[in-house]
Amino acid sequence: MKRTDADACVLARVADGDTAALAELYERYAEPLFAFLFRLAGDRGTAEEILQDTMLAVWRSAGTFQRRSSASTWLFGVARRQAHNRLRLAAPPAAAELYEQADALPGPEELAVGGDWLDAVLAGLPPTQREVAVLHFVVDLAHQDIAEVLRIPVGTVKSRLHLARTKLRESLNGQ
Amino acid sequence: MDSEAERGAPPAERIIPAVLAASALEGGLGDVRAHAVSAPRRAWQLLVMEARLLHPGVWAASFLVMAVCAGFAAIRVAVPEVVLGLSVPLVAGTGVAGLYGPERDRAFEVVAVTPTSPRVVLLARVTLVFGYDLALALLVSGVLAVAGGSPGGVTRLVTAWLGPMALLAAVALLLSVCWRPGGAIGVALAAWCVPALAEMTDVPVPEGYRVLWQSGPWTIALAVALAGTAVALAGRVEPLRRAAATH
Repeated sequence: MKRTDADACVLARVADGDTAALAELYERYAEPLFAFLFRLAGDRGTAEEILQDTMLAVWRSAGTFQRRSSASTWLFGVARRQAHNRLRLAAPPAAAELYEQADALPGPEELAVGGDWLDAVLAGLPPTQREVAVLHFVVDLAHQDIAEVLRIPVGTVKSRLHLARTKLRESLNGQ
Repeated sequence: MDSEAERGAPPAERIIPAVLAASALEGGLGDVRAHAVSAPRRAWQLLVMEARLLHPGVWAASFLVMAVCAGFAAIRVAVPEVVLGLSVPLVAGTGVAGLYGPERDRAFEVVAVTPTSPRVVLLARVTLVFGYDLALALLVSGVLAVAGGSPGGVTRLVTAWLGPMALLAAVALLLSVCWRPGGAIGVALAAWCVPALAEMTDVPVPEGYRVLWQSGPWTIALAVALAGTAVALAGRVEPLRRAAATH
């Protein structure tokens, strides 16, 4: 059985309320989903929360999977939607706190100093380019799959990737 | 230095229970349509699950009684119509009477907290037990008819037990829901013994009562009405035994 068919079968079992199938699906996709969400969220705690939101959404809406796309594309689409919901709703820090404590998240420069050059550069990209770059460079999705996940034309995926590559190259030259 | 992402995703043992707990706390399975399966598939799944919950003795007892009756009829100890006419309604009545209530249900507490209503559960169990008894009785009737045990053929054999079977099972089910399974079985036995004895003895029985226990359209209609009432009342009315127990 092909991987995509097997994933669709697991999703069908999840739709029937099979908790073991949910765990099986998580074991298959936790790593690439987490890698994607970590780069979108910027910190491990938020990424874990979004990953949990994603699995909850999958548990509740697995029955809506129509096999029009691959299971992996559908999963990353769900994860992206959950990430946008969570990150859009995240309240900005109170004005007083800005002066009282430093930002707990490492900035691009800090990450670069720490040696994780790719994470630092990805963090410095605009969100629209970042999610395309993460899905391409980190998750290794094809252009067509990225287009389906983000619901944008393939041409837009390519143009955003081109911009992201340019910035990556500039960053690499500046090292 | 490893990045945080490279330390990997959190383990399934932590995420999956949290997801299921969140789903339960926020309202069961969430969007019901997302978990919806087709009605026939859901009905089949329910029947399979309920078949696993029913006591194996229910199936074994029906099979043994029917096998013994078929044996008696086959060796011409008794007329097949009389044997099946007496035994089949009793088998169905006693089998259906024990389907409802905590006394005989090993999974009563578990079933009570499932989203499936007690009426649907009862309907599934009645379908299983009554259908099983009906299939057995049809099989025995067919075999006896083919073997030449019944001069009237399979139709006469089936009409000897079909109406009484349906009515007795419906009466037993209604009494089981509104009263108690043991009482339902006792009343079913008594109600059925009167016309049965009247057939074999000269005990006077009102003609209307005798007609009621035949395979006529009114008997079947009354059985359907009583069974429907029992299913509708399941889980809605407090059985008489519990009302008495509070005083």
